[in-house]
Amino acid sequence: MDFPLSETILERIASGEQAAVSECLARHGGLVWSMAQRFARRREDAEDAVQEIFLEVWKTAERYDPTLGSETVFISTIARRRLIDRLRRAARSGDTLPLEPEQAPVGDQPSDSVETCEEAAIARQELGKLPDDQRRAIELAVCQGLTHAEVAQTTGLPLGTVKTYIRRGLQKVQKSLAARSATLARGGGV
Amino acid sequence: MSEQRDPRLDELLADQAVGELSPEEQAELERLLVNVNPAEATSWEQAATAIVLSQLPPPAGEMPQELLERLRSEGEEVVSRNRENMTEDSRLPPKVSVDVLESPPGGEATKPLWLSLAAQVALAASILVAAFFFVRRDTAPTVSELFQQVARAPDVVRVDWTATEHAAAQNASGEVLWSTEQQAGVMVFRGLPANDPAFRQYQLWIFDDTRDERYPVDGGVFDIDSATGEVRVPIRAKLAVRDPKMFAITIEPTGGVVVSSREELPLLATVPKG
Repeated sequence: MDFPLSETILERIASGEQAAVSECLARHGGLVWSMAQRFARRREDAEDAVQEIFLEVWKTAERYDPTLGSETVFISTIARRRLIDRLRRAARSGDTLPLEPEQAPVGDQPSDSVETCEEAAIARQELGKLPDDQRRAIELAVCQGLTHAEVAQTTGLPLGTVKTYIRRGLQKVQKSLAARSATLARGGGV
Repeated sequence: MSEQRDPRLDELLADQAVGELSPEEQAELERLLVNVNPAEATSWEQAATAIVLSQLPPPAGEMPQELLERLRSEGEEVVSRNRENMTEDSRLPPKVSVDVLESPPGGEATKPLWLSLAAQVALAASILVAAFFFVRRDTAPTVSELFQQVARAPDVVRVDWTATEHAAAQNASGEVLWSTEQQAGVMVFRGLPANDPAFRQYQLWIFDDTRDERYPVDGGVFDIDSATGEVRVPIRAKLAVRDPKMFAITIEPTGGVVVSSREELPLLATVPKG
Protein backbone atom coordinates (compact mmCIF):
# COMPACT_ATOMS: atom_id res chain seq x y z
CA MET A 1 0.00 0.00 0.00
CA ASP A 2 1.66 3.23 -1.08
CA PHE A 3 -0.80 5.80 0.18
CA PRO A 4 0.63 7.14 3.42
CA LEU A 5 4.25 7.57 2.31
CA SER A 6 3.76 8.39 -1.37
CA GLU A 7 1.37 11.27 -1.01
CA THR A 8 3.88 13.18 1.06
CA ILE A 9 6.61 13.01 -1.59
CA LEU A 10 4.65 14.96 -4.19
CA GLU A 11 3.46 17.42 -1.59
CA ARG A 12 7.06 18.00 -0.56
CA ILE A 13 8.11 18.44 -4.17
CA ALA A 14 5.29 20.94 -4.66
CA SER A 15 6.50 22.87 -1.64
CA GLY A 16 10.00 23.10 -3.10
CA GLU A 17 11.88 20.48 -1.07
CA GLN A 18 14.79 19.33 -3.23
CA ALA A 19 15.48 16.19 -1.18
CA ALA A 20 12.06 14.86 -2.17
CA VAL A 21 13.27 14.61 -5.79
CA SER A 22 15.68 11.78 -4.94
CA GLU A 23 13.02 10.02 -2.89
CA CYS A 24 10.55 10.29 -5.74
CA LEU A 25 13.07 8.84 -8.19
CA ALA A 26 13.98 6.05 -5.80
CA ARG A 27 10.35 5.16 -5.31
CA HIS A 28 8.91 5.63 -8.79
CA GLY A 29 11.89 5.75 -11.15
CA GLY A 30 11.97 1.99 -11.71
CA LEU A 31 8.27 1.88 -12.50
CA VAL A 32 8.45 4.71 -15.03
CA TRP A 33 11.55 3.16 -16.59
CA SER A 34 9.67 -0.15 -16.96
CA MET A 35 6.75 1.61 -18.61
CA ALA A 36 9.04 3.47 -20.97
CA GLN A 37 10.80 0.26 -21.98
CA ARG A 38 7.44 -1.34 -22.57
CA PHE A 39 6.24 1.41 -24.91
CA ALA A 40 9.43 2.65 -26.54
CA ARG A 41 11.12 0.83 -29.37
CA ARG A 42 14.63 2.07 -28.75
CA ARG A 43 16.57 2.63 -25.57
CA GLU A 44 17.28 6.28 -26.39
CA ASP A 45 13.53 6.85 -26.94
CA ALA A 46 12.85 5.35 -23.53
CA GLU A 47 15.44 7.65 -21.94
CA ASP A 48 13.98 10.74 -23.63
CA ALA A 49 10.49 9.72 -22.58
CA VAL A 50 11.50 9.20 -18.95
CA GLN A 51 13.08 12.63 -18.89
CA GLU A 52 9.92 14.23 -20.33
CA ILE A 53 7.73 12.36 -17.86
CA PHE A 54 9.64 13.40 -14.78
CA LEU A 55 9.89 16.99 -15.97
CA GLU A 56 6.10 17.01 -16.05
CA VAL A 57 5.96 15.36 -12.62
CA TRP A 58 8.16 18.07 -11.06
CA LYS A 59 6.06 20.79 -12.63
CA THR A 60 2.63 19.38 -11.84
CA ALA A 61 3.23 17.88 -8.40
CA GLU A 62 1.05 20.57 -6.86
CA ARG A 63 -1.95 19.21 -8.75
CA TYR A 64 -1.78 15.83 -7.04
CA ASP A 65 -4.90 15.18 -4.99
CA PRO A 66 -4.55 12.10 -2.75
CA THR A 67 -8.31 11.73 -2.53
CA LEU A 68 -8.47 10.95 -6.25
CA GLY A 69 -5.91 8.14 -6.29
CA SER A 70 -2.47 7.04 -5.25
CA GLU A 71 0.70 8.86 -6.15
CA THR A 72 1.81 5.84 -8.18
CA VAL A 73 -1.26 6.19 -10.39
CA PHE A 74 -0.80 9.97 -10.67
CA ILE A 75 2.76 9.56 -11.95
CA SER A 76 1.93 6.55 -14.10
CA THR A 77 -0.97 8.41 -15.72
CA ILE A 78 1.43 11.16 -16.77
CA ALA A 79 3.80 8.48 -18.02
CA ARG A 80 1.17 6.57 -19.98
CA ARG A 81 -0.18 9.72 -21.64
CA ARG A 82 3.31 10.83 -22.64
CA LEU A 83 4.34 7.42 -23.89
CA ILE A 84 1.22 6.95 -25.99
CA ASP A 85 1.60 10.45 -27.44
CA ARG A 86 5.17 9.65 -28.40
CA LEU A 87 4.20 6.28 -29.84
CA ARG A 88 1.41 7.74 -31.98
CA ARG A 89 3.58 10.65 -33.11
CA ALA A 90 6.38 8.31 -34.08
CA ALA A 91 3.98 6.04 -35.94
CA ARG A 92 2.53 9.05 -37.81
CA SER A 93 5.92 10.37 -38.81
CA GLY A 94 7.03 6.87 -39.76
CA ASP A 95 10.40 7.16 -38.02
CA THR A 96 9.65 4.44 -35.50
CA LEU A 97 7.55 1.34 -35.75
CA PRO A 98 5.02 0.75 -33.02
CA LEU A 99 5.58 -2.28 -30.86
CA GLU A 100 4.71 -5.54 -32.51
CA PRO A 101 1.94 -7.11 -30.42
CA GLU A 102 3.71 -10.43 -30.14
CA GLN A 103 6.87 -8.81 -28.85
CA ALA A 104 5.37 -7.54 -25.65
CA PRO A 105 3.95 -9.94 -23.12
CA VAL A 106 0.19 -9.63 -23.12
CA GLY A 107 -1.56 -10.24 -19.90
CA ASP A 108 -1.57 -13.99 -19.61
CA GLN A 109 1.05 -13.99 -16.91
CA PRO A 110 -0.27 -11.75 -14.16
CA SER A 111 1.88 -13.59 -11.66
CA ASP A 112 4.95 -12.12 -13.38
CA SER A 113 3.69 -8.57 -13.14
CA VAL A 114 5.03 -6.00 -10.75
CA GLU A 115 2.83 -5.39 -7.72
CA THR A 116 2.73 -1.62 -7.87
CA CYS A 117 -0.34 -0.41 -6.02
CA GLU A 118 -3.79 -1.40 -4.95
CA GLU A 119 -5.36 0.09 -8.07
CA ALA A 120 -3.29 -2.29 -10.20
CA ALA A 121 -4.46 -5.25 -8.13
CA ILE A 122 -8.08 -4.17 -8.64
CA ALA A 123 -7.55 -3.81 -12.38
CA ARG A 124 -5.92 -7.23 -12.60
CA GLN A 125 -8.84 -8.75 -10.75
CA GLU A 126 -11.36 -7.13 -13.11
CA LEU A 127 -9.41 -8.10 -16.22
CA GLY A 128 -9.27 -11.66 -14.95
CA LYS A 129 -13.07 -11.84 -15.08
CA LEU A 130 -13.25 -10.89 -18.76
CA PRO A 131 -13.40 -13.27 -21.73
CA ASP A 132 -10.02 -13.77 -23.44
CA ASP A 133 -10.95 -11.81 -26.57
CA GLN A 134 -12.08 -8.80 -24.60
CA ARG A 135 -9.07 -8.84 -22.31
CA ARG A 136 -6.72 -9.01 -25.25
CA ALA A 137 -8.44 -6.08 -26.98
CA ILE A 138 -8.07 -3.98 -23.84
CA GLU A 139 -4.45 -4.90 -23.32
CA LEU A 140 -3.54 -4.07 -26.90
CA ALA A 141 -5.25 -0.68 -26.72
CA VAL A 142 -4.39 0.32 -23.18
CA CYS A 143 -1.04 -1.35 -22.50
CA GLN A 144 0.44 -1.08 -25.96
CA GLY A 145 -1.22 2.05 -27.30
CA LEU A 146 -2.74 0.47 -30.41
CA THR A 147 -5.64 2.35 -31.98
CA HIS A 148 -9.07 0.74 -32.19
CA ALA A 149 -8.46 0.04 -35.89
CA GLU A 150 -5.08 -1.54 -35.16
CA VAL A 151 -6.61 -3.72 -32.45
CA ALA A 152 -9.31 -4.85 -34.91
CA GLN A 153 -6.65 -5.65 -37.48
CA THR A 154 -4.47 -7.51 -34.98
CA THR A 155 -7.25 -9.57 -33.40
CA GLY A 156 -9.52 -10.01 -36.43
CA LEU A 157 -12.45 -8.70 -34.39
CA PRO A 158 -14.94 -6.27 -36.00
CA LEU A 159 -14.15 -2.62 -35.21
CA GLY A 160 -17.47 -2.08 -33.44
CA THR A 161 -16.84 -5.09 -31.21
CA VAL A 162 -13.37 -3.80 -30.36
CA LYS A 163 -14.78 -0.42 -29.32
CA THR A 164 -17.47 -2.01 -27.18
CA TYR A 165 -15.03 -4.44 -25.56
CA ILE A 166 -12.61 -1.67 -24.65
CA ARG A 167 -15.25 0.74 -23.38
CA ARG A 168 -17.00 -1.84 -21.23
CA GLY A 169 -13.77 -3.28 -19.86
CA LEU A 170 -12.49 0.16 -18.90
CA GLN A 171 -15.82 0.94 -17.31
CA LYS A 172 -15.62 -2.14 -15.09
CA VAL A 173 -12.20 -1.14 -13.81
CA GLN A 174 -13.29 2.49 -13.44
CA LYS A 175 -16.31 1.46 -11.37
CA SER A 176 -14.26 -0.76 -9.09
CA LEU A 177 -11.73 2.00 -8.53
CA ALA A 178 -14.52 4.50 -7.87
CA ALA A 179 -16.00 2.14 -5.29
CA ARG A 180 -12.60 1.90 -3.61
CA SER A 181 -12.22 5.70 -3.57
CA ALA A 182 -15.69 6.03 -2.06
CA THR A 183 -14.72 3.56 0.67
CA LEU A 184 -11.54 5.53 1.39
CA ALA A 185 -13.45 8.81 1.44
CA ARG A 186 -15.81 7.36 4.03
CA GLY A 187 -12.80 6.45 6.12
CA GLY A 188 -13.03 2.76 5.25
CA GLY A 189 -10.16 0.36 5.71
CA VAL A 190 -7.26 0.21 3.30
CA MET B 1 -20.59 9.73 -8.57
CA SER B 2 -23.86 10.61 -10.30
CA GLU B 3 -26.70 8.11 -10.13
CA GLN B 4 -27.97 8.76 -13.65
CA ARG B 5 -25.03 8.28 -15.94
CA ASP B 6 -25.04 9.56 -19.48
CA PRO B 7 -23.99 6.57 -21.62
CA ARG B 8 -22.59 8.86 -24.31
CA LEU B 9 -20.39 10.60 -21.73
CA ASP B 10 -19.04 7.24 -20.58
CA GLU B 11 -18.37 6.25 -24.16
CA LEU B 12 -16.44 9.44 -24.86
CA LEU B 13 -14.47 9.25 -21.60
CA ALA B 14 -13.49 5.66 -22.37
CA ASP B 15 -12.37 6.63 -25.87
CA GLN B 16 -10.44 9.60 -24.51
CA ALA B 17 -8.61 7.35 -22.06
CA VAL B 18 -7.19 5.36 -24.98
CA GLY B 19 -6.53 8.45 -27.11
CA GLU B 20 -9.27 7.79 -29.64
CA LEU B 21 -11.27 11.03 -29.75
CA SER B 22 -11.62 13.05 -32.93
CA PRO B 23 -11.63 16.86 -32.53
CA GLU B 24 -15.44 16.84 -32.94
CA GLU B 25 -15.82 14.20 -30.24
CA GLN B 26 -13.45 16.13 -28.01
CA ALA B 27 -15.63 19.21 -28.38
CA GLU B 28 -18.71 17.11 -27.61
CA LEU B 29 -17.01 15.71 -24.51
CA GLU B 30 -16.06 19.18 -23.30
CA ARG B 31 -19.71 20.24 -23.62
CA LEU B 32 -20.89 17.21 -21.67
CA LEU B 33 -18.25 17.71 -18.99
CA VAL B 34 -19.43 21.20 -18.08
CA ASN B 35 -21.72 19.89 -15.36
CA VAL B 36 -19.60 16.92 -14.33
CA ASN B 37 -17.17 16.61 -11.46
CA PRO B 38 -13.62 16.83 -12.92
CA ALA B 39 -12.74 13.72 -10.92
CA GLU B 40 -15.12 11.80 -13.16
CA ALA B 41 -13.00 12.46 -16.24
CA THR B 42 -9.80 11.67 -14.37
CA SER B 43 -11.15 8.36 -13.13
CA TRP B 44 -11.27 6.86 -16.62
CA GLU B 45 -7.65 7.72 -17.31
CA GLN B 46 -6.75 6.29 -13.93
CA ALA B 47 -8.55 3.07 -14.82
CA ALA B 48 -6.47 2.80 -17.99
CA THR B 49 -3.32 3.48 -15.98
CA ALA B 50 -4.24 0.84 -13.41
CA ILE B 51 -4.62 -1.68 -16.25
CA VAL B 52 -1.15 -0.82 -17.55
CA LEU B 53 0.29 -1.23 -14.06
CA SER B 54 -1.50 -4.53 -13.60
CA GLN B 55 0.18 -5.96 -16.69
CA LEU B 56 3.61 -4.44 -16.31
CA PRO B 57 6.32 -7.11 -16.44
CA PRO B 58 9.19 -6.97 -13.95
CA PRO B 59 11.81 -4.39 -14.97
CA ALA B 60 14.27 -5.73 -17.53
CA GLY B 61 17.04 -3.78 -15.80
CA GLU B 62 17.81 -0.79 -13.64
CA MET B 63 17.48 2.72 -14.97
CA PRO B 64 20.91 3.82 -16.25
CA GLN B 65 22.81 5.69 -13.55
CA GLU B 66 23.61 8.54 -15.91
CA LEU B 67 19.92 9.04 -16.67
CA LEU B 68 19.08 8.88 -12.99
CA GLU B 69 21.64 11.59 -12.24
CA ARG B 70 20.30 13.74 -15.05
CA LEU B 71 16.76 13.39 -13.73
CA ARG B 72 17.86 14.21 -10.20
CA SER B 73 19.77 17.29 -11.24
CA GLU B 74 16.97 18.54 -13.50
CA GLY B 75 14.37 17.78 -10.83
CA GLU B 76 16.22 19.67 -8.12
CA GLU B 77 16.61 22.64 -10.42
CA VAL B 78 12.91 22.71 -11.37
CA VAL B 79 11.77 22.21 -7.78
CA SER B 80 14.08 24.97 -6.65
CA ARG B 81 12.68 27.24 -9.37
CA ASN B 82 9.17 26.35 -8.21
CA ARG B 83 10.14 27.48 -4.73
CA GLU B 84 11.51 30.75 -6.06
CA ASN B 85 8.31 31.28 -8.00
CA MET B 86 6.34 30.63 -4.84
CA THR B 87 8.42 33.25 -3.06
CA GLU B 88 7.91 35.61 -5.96
CA ASP B 89 4.20 34.88 -5.97
CA SER B 90 3.96 35.76 -2.30
CA ARG B 91 5.82 39.01 -2.89
CA LEU B 92 4.32 40.04 -6.21
CA PRO B 93 0.59 39.46 -6.39
CA PRO B 94 -0.25 37.31 -9.44
CA LYS B 95 -2.51 40.04 -10.68
CA VAL B 96 -1.69 42.44 -13.40
CA SER B 97 1.10 44.96 -13.01
CA VAL B 98 0.48 48.19 -14.85
CA ASP B 99 3.33 50.37 -15.99
CA VAL B 100 2.60 53.84 -14.66
CA LEU B 101 4.25 57.04 -15.81
CA GLU B 102 5.81 59.05 -12.99
CA SER B 103 4.23 62.40 -12.25
CA PRO B 104 6.56 65.36 -12.76
CA PRO B 105 7.79 66.97 -9.52
CA GLY B 106 6.45 70.42 -8.74
CA GLY B 107 5.71 73.04 -6.04
CA GLU B 108 8.93 72.38 -4.18
CA ALA B 109 9.60 76.06 -3.35
CA THR B 110 6.35 76.55 -1.51
CA LYS B 111 6.86 73.63 0.89
CA PRO B 112 7.87 74.36 4.49
CA LEU B 113 11.20 73.05 5.80
CA TRP B 114 9.70 70.18 7.83
CA LEU B 115 8.00 68.87 4.68
CA SER B 116 11.32 68.91 2.85
CA LEU B 117 12.92 66.95 5.68
CA ALA B 118 10.05 64.48 5.67
CA ALA B 119 10.47 64.12 1.93
CA GLN B 120 14.17 63.40 2.39
CA VAL B 121 13.41 60.73 5.02
CA ALA B 122 10.85 59.20 2.69
CA LEU B 123 13.37 59.27 -0.13
CA ALA B 124 15.98 57.52 2.04
CA ALA B 125 13.41 54.88 2.98
CA SER B 126 12.47 54.37 -0.64
CA ILE B 127 16.14 53.93 -1.55
CA LEU B 128 16.43 51.21 1.12
CA VAL B 129 13.35 49.49 -0.26
CA ALA B 130 14.68 49.84 -3.78
CA ALA B 131 18.02 48.39 -2.66
CA PHE B 132 16.20 45.40 -1.18
CA PHE B 133 14.30 44.80 -4.39
CA PHE B 134 17.45 45.31 -6.41
CA VAL B 135 19.14 42.49 -4.52
CA ARG B 136 16.10 40.32 -5.07
CA ARG B 137 15.84 41.12 -8.75
CA ASP B 138 18.17 38.32 -9.78
CA THR B 139 15.50 35.80 -8.96
CA ALA B 140 12.31 37.79 -9.34
CA PRO B 141 12.23 40.32 -12.15
CA THR B 142 9.39 42.81 -12.33
CA VAL B 143 6.95 42.50 -15.20
CA SER B 144 8.69 45.34 -17.05
CA GLU B 145 12.06 43.63 -16.64
CA LEU B 146 10.59 40.33 -17.73
CA PHE B 147 9.13 42.05 -20.78
CA GLN B 148 12.54 43.46 -21.73
CA GLN B 149 14.25 40.12 -21.07
CA VAL B 150 11.80 38.19 -23.27
CA ALA B 151 11.70 40.90 -25.96
CA ARG B 152 15.48 40.66 -26.29
CA ALA B 153 15.58 36.85 -26.45
CA PRO B 154 16.95 35.59 -29.80
CA ASP B 155 14.08 33.10 -30.12
CA VAL B 156 11.30 35.49 -29.11
CA VAL B 157 7.90 34.85 -30.68
CA ARG B 158 5.93 38.10 -30.87
CA VAL B 159 2.34 38.02 -32.13
CA ASP B 160 -0.54 40.52 -32.06
CA TRP B 161 -3.81 39.52 -30.46
CA THR B 162 -6.70 39.00 -32.85
CA ALA B 163 -10.09 39.96 -31.44
CA THR B 164 -12.96 37.51 -31.85
CA GLU B 165 -16.62 38.51 -31.91
CA HIS B 166 -16.83 38.18 -28.13
CA ALA B 167 -18.07 41.38 -26.47
CA ALA B 168 -14.97 41.62 -24.27
CA ALA B 169 -12.81 41.87 -27.37
CA GLN B 170 -14.61 44.87 -28.82
CA ASN B 171 -11.87 47.40 -28.04
CA ALA B 172 -9.12 44.97 -27.11
CA SER B 173 -5.71 44.77 -28.72
CA GLY B 174 -2.13 44.05 -27.76
CA GLU B 175 0.43 41.34 -28.27
CA VAL B 176 2.00 38.28 -26.72
CA LEU B 177 5.71 37.60 -26.38
CA TRP B 178 7.15 34.15 -25.67
CA SER B 179 10.67 32.73 -25.47
CA THR B 180 10.88 28.96 -25.51
CA GLU B 181 14.50 29.08 -24.46
CA GLN B 182 13.62 31.09 -21.36
CA GLN B 183 10.27 29.35 -20.89
CA ALA B 184 8.89 32.78 -20.16
CA GLY B 185 6.55 35.25 -21.74
CA VAL B 186 4.47 38.37 -21.27
CA MET B 187 1.03 39.33 -22.55
CA VAL B 188 0.26 42.95 -23.38
CA PHE B 189 -3.33 44.17 -23.44
CA ARG B 190 -5.01 47.43 -24.33
CA GLY B 191 -8.75 47.88 -23.90
CA LEU B 192 -9.53 44.50 -22.40
CA PRO B 193 -12.41 45.03 -19.95
CA ALA B 194 -11.77 44.74 -16.20
CA ASN B 195 -13.07 41.53 -14.62
CA ASP B 196 -14.55 40.93 -11.19
CA PRO B 197 -12.08 38.44 -9.67
CA ALA B 198 -14.73 37.24 -7.24
CA PHE B 199 -16.63 35.67 -10.12
CA ARG B 200 -14.60 35.50 -13.30
CA GLN B 201 -11.00 35.52 -14.42
CA TYR B 202 -9.18 35.53 -17.70
CA GLN B 203 -7.17 32.39 -18.48
CA LEU B 204 -4.41 31.87 -21.03
CA TRP B 205 -4.05 28.65 -23.07
CA ILE B 206 -0.98 27.82 -25.13
CA PHE B 207 -1.30 25.37 -27.99
CA ASP B 208 2.01 23.56 -28.36
CA ASP B 209 2.72 21.83 -31.65
CA THR B 210 4.62 19.06 -29.84
CA ARG B 211 1.59 18.20 -27.72
CA ASP B 212 -1.84 16.80 -28.35
CA GLU B 213 -3.89 19.76 -29.55
CA ARG B 214 -6.79 18.66 -27.38
CA TYR B 215 -4.78 19.58 -24.32
CA PRO B 216 -3.41 23.12 -24.58
CA VAL B 217 -1.02 24.14 -21.82
CA ASP B 218 -2.63 26.19 -19.06
CA GLY B 219 -0.90 29.58 -19.09
CA GLY B 220 -2.43 30.77 -15.82
CA VAL B 221 -5.33 32.94 -14.74
CA PHE B 222 -5.11 36.70 -14.40
CA ASP B 223 -7.16 39.79 -13.67
CA ILE B 224 -7.53 43.08 -15.45
CA ASP B 225 -8.01 46.00 -13.08
CA SER B 226 -8.73 48.68 -15.62
CA ALA B 227 -9.49 48.67 -19.32
CA THR B 228 -7.64 51.94 -19.82
CA GLY B 229 -3.96 52.08 -20.58
CA GLU B 230 -1.58 49.25 -21.35
CA VAL B 231 -1.50 46.22 -19.12
CA ARG B 232 1.33 43.67 -19.01
CA VAL B 233 0.80 40.21 -17.58
CA PRO B 234 3.49 37.55 -17.06
CA ILE B 235 2.75 34.14 -18.55
CA ARG B 236 2.73 31.32 -16.00
CA ALA B 237 2.76 28.16 -18.11
CA LYS B 238 2.05 25.06 -16.03
CA LEU B 239 4.02 22.81 -18.39
CA ALA B 240 7.00 23.26 -20.67
CA VAL B 241 6.06 24.84 -24.01
CA ARG B 242 8.35 23.76 -26.82
CA ASP B 243 6.71 24.94 -30.02
CA PRO B 244 3.84 27.37 -29.44
CA LYS B 245 1.48 27.66 -32.39
CA MET B 246 -1.40 29.59 -30.82
CA PHE B 247 -2.26 31.56 -27.68
CA ALA B 248 -5.88 31.90 -26.59
CA ILE B 249 -7.58 33.89 -23.84
CA THR B 250 -10.77 32.50 -22.35
CA ILE B 251 -13.02 33.81 -19.59
CA GLU B 252 -13.54 31.27 -16.83
CA PRO B 253 -14.93 30.96 -13.31
CA THR B 254 -12.57 32.31 -10.64
CA GLY B 255 -9.52 30.10 -10.25
CA GLY B 256 -9.66 28.90 -13.85
CA VAL B 257 -10.50 25.48 -15.23
CA VAL B 258 -8.58 22.35 -16.20
CA VAL B 259 -10.50 21.91 -19.44
CA SER B 260 -12.07 24.98 -21.01
CA SER B 261 -15.41 24.84 -22.79
CA ARG B 262 -13.95 27.63 -24.97
CA GLU B 263 -17.38 29.25 -25.04
CA GLU B 264 -16.00 32.64 -24.04
CA LEU B 265 -12.90 33.27 -26.05
CA PRO B 266 -12.20 36.95 -26.69
CA LEU B 267 -8.62 36.89 -27.99
CA LEU B 268 -6.39 34.66 -30.09
CA ALA B 269 -2.82 34.99 -31.29
CA THR B 270 -1.70 32.57 -33.99
CA VAL B 271 2.02 32.14 -34.50
CA PRO B 272 2.90 32.34 -38.20
CA LYS B 273 4.42 29.11 -39.52
CA GLY B 274 8.12 28.94 -40.21
